[in-house]
Amino acid sequence: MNSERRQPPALAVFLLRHLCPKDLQEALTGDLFERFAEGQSDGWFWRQVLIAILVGVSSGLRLHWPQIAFAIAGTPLLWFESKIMRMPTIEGLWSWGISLHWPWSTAYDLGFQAAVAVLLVQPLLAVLLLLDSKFSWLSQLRTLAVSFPLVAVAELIRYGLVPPKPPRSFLMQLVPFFALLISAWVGCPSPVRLQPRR
Amino acid sequence: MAKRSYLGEFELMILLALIRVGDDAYGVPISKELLNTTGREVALGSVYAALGRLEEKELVSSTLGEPTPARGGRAKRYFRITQKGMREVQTTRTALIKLWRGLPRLEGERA
Repeated sequence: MNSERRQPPALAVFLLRHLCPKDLQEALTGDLFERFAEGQSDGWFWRQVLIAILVGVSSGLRLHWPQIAFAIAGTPLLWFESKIMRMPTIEGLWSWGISLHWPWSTAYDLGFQAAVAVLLVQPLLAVLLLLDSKFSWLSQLRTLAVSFPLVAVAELIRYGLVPPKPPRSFLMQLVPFFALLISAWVGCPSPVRLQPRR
Repeated sequence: MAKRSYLGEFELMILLALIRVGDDAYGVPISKELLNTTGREVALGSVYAALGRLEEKELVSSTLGEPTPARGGRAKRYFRITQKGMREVQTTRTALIKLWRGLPRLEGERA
């Protein structure tokens, strides 16, 4: 009997362990090891791992499409924030706060703009979750709670740390995109996949 | 009208392979059964993704076996078709037979 058992490619095993959906990992890895021990090649193992990762990514997109669509569609929607800020009632509320003493005025300004931005995009998430039959008030509230500080930080980065004059780079647009994506991802967890019985 | 989702071709093939394999149905024998009957090698990742969707629809259920050294200490995940899954297969079979009937060119297919 051969005491030195052939090992599958270490990098492929590493990728499988880190990039494959957790709920499938144990059974899938075990199956790939079993087939490899039966004599499959390194190339076969690599192909299986790459397909497993792609399948995992596509099923992740399928499960989280409302969150991803929210971030994609919500980012350009945030551009309308400045228009809303110019509405007389909103502008009145805003100018009351910024007349406070520093640092309250700055905190108020940042919080106010973040609140307007968050309330502007939140209905979009509600519509997307309704389309996916996954709407719940709890997810809405959770997303709101997470997105408020994240959008405030995004606003700070976009307007505070960047020179006031454009060009606003594409990378800067990614800041609110990720703020929305993370808040929807955390706020609306995907349904728990069924776990096998032991 | 009640919303009804039909089985996709691959999902139906997986369910049929699951029935054919019987009690020892986990990823490896299912993919081998598909290879033997259809001549197509199917990636194990795709098999598990389809089984995951079928489990979400409650058409299959799964249990974990014991870890074995041959599998690097990983357990097998055994799948079983549920009553609902069996009904779904039968409904699809009936629909396909009805569609197949009256197509003489295909029925009289010769090698």
